[in-house]
Amino acid sequence: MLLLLPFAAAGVLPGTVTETTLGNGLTLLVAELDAPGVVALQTWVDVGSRDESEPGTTGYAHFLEHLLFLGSTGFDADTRDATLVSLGARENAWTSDDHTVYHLLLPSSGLPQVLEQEADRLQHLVLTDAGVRQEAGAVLGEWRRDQNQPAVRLHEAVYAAAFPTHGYGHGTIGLEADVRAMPEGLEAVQGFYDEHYRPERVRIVVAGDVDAEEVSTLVEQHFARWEAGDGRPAQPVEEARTERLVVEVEHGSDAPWSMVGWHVPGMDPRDPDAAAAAVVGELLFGDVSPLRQQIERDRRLVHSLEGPWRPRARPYLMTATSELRDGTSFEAVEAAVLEAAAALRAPEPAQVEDARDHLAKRFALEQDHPDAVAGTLGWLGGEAAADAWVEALRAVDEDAVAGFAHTWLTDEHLVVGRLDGAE
Amino acid sequence: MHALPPGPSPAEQAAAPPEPLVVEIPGDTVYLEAAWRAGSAWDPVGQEGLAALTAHLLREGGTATRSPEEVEHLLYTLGAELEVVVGKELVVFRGRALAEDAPALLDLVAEMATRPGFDAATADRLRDEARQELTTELTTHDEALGDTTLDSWLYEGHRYGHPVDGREGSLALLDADDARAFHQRVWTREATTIGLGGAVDADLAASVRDAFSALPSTRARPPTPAPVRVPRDRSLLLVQNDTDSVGVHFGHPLDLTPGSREHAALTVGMASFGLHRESIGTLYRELRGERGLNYGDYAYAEFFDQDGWSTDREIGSRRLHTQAYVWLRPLDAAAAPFALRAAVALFEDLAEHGLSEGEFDAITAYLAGRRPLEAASPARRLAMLVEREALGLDATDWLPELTLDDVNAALAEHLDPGALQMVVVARDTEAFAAAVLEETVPVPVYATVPTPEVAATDAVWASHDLSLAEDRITHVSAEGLFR
Repeated sequence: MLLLLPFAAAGVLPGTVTETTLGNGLTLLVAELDAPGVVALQTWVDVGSRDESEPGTTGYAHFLEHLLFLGSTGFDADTRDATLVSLGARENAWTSDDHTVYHLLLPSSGLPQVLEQEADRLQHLVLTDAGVRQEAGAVLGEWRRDQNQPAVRLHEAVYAAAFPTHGYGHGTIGLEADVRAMPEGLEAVQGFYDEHYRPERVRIVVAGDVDAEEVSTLVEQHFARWEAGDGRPAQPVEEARTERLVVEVEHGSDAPWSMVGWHVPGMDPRDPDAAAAAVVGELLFGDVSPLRQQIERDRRLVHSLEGPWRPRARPYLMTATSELRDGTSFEAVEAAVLEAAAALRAPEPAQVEDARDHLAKRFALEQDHPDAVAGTLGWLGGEAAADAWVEALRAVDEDAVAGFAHTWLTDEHLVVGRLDGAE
Repeated sequence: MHALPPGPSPAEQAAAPPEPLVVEIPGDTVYLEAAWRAGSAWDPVGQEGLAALTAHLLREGGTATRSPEEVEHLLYTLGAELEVVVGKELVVFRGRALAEDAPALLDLVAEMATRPGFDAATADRLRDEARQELTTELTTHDEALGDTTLDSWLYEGHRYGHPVDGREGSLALLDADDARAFHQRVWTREATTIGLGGAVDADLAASVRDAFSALPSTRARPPTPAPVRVPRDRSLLLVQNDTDSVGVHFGHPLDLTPGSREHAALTVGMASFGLHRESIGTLYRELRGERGLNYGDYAYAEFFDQDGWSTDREIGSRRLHTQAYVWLRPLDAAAAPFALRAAVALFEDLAEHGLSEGEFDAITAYLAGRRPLEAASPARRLAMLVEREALGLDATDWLPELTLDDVNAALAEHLDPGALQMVVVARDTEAFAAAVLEETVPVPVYATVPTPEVAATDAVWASHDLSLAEDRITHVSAEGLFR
């Protein structure tokens, strides 16, 4: 064990947070909370669909997430299920572009048993041809679920065009051909697991009614022998764009959808620029943004504006997506979004203040449950980062917003998507 | 500034003001859960959608002293959350704020409920959005389309028999004045249950009680809902939609009240059959686990609306009338006829044979262990209490008392496979109808070689008699389904 850093409970998160890094690079974050008898366990693996660089493997981070429930050397699936059922534990998992996250909520008394099983499936997963073939059907079913949604089609097309080489260019569920070929994917998914499931890319987060020292001992016991890998592989860098990108999609629905956005840089959430970007996102798309007031309520151009946004580790898009109302032209919506972005080059100080305070208060409000605290620690990577994030938010001023808007909300970074409704 | 609606006269204020229920929650956040018996079941005939429109208009249409924009700005600067849940029975205003901002939030919500602004332009927008939800949103979301269709069809002719958002035709007739009249009539003290949690002292609780005391009184509790009529024989409604996958939903109304011992027993049985978004149910294990047919397969003993991205139930959506309900997530069109037969066969088996001892032990242990986990969320703890009080449900914890015999007796008594109402959403409904009438349907080709046990069961399921005569099969189009 390399590092043990206890923090006092004076920060933005409730309870006491202890951070530990094992010799193999694995990070353990423990939040001791007033949550009688309950604990949240989250495993954050720094692997997502952006890491699917081998041809034919789009969707494999998510596919592997499914396969982690099928058993490991020490605990087959039935044994693991029986443990969780006997505890009443609730578990699920999700995969995004950047992360794969396994999350459980369970009685604190069950943590030693569940941690041992968690360690086993992260290090000694048993992948079989039969298991892969069977679970591929479930993934195909999940893919099928969303295929009729125009917004999903538009999102896929815009990101494919905006990121021709980077892994952000395909959705987390994967391309249809790759999803349909998953039954044959045993070898590829085994390779993906061996390469990406490595301790230096994992954060174990425990939040709830626990003793940090006891948890630390357990994690040391079950994870310390896990062999380190080579870290996260470098991703291709997209060439800088020099002009706006327009993507038109024919889906054949009656509902035209618009997406307007900009390439923005990758940001560590601890970077002050990330806080400025978050405030810009809020000023553009937040509940009281002038853009929302105008296109949803006053002029009623769109049904609803979708624009929640938070900084990504890699260059990404900051987008406004909306379904157009009857009679609305793409040009009208696009002009309104561009006008709102232009206004941020000289923002009203009071608006900036409202937005940053709103984000900081919401952050504080959300930390009222073991799951939420674990999620925050997993995303930000530690308590100091959480404190820094809120501090950075509170420090964002009109100059920071204007600077971001000048640099990034420009024509050469602009991406426009239009689905259906073309004459 | 918005015109003040006429307030209740002093004589109408005779009933005691709603005394807030207060739940102890550590921390410096204040939680509000305010419920009204004012859900879509109270929609007047021909004005379907009015309850939901009224609820959203109270939230978004300004107040007597604030324009809609001022309301949004105030909430924003408070950093407060305020969401509205509208179900068949209840409307819930759910809010939370840091302690320093809580009085302002509570005052605002009280003003929304007692002195709303009824902004006409907001009413117009909300009505259009509800119409959008019933048309484009449903036809592009296969799962919601099948779910909403079955939910309305099960209660055809009953006050639950239309979507909470209403119908296209009735929505077109509604405006802010209708909402004003509905609010005056239905949003009464007797219909109100207020809950507070967190950093709440006696003064704050008293001020909340006083603030909501401006609601009028009808001197009577809202009426008990009419019973659901006797269900039909087994029927199939085929919904034609422009989609590549096939959705399967089936169920029937139950004559059981939530909170009763028998309903608790049936809930245990249905959880073992297909607990929502968990892998321990029979349906999930057989259809997804053994056969990889889809993403998941679930069963319920009452209406279930998922809370956002979580797998929890949306509290506030609970109803006084319950239903047995089975949901197969989207299937490949070629496999869907087989999947329907398999699920119906399993449902019939559940009704006839109930759970085994092992299944009973596993599910009761699981449910008992899970309960404290749900209470770990302070907001949910408060919300569950308010929901139960608002609906007048029995608070007894039946789970520790239930036996295998109780569960199996409830399954045998209340599941009625002969009354199953089935909804299937598909592109080629003619082909699906033809497959239903065939003696045997093809077994899907799996990605892996099935075990002898699976193959033997498949052969039985493939020729399972759905007992659906041609005259019990109806075809409709997704377009205009809720006109």
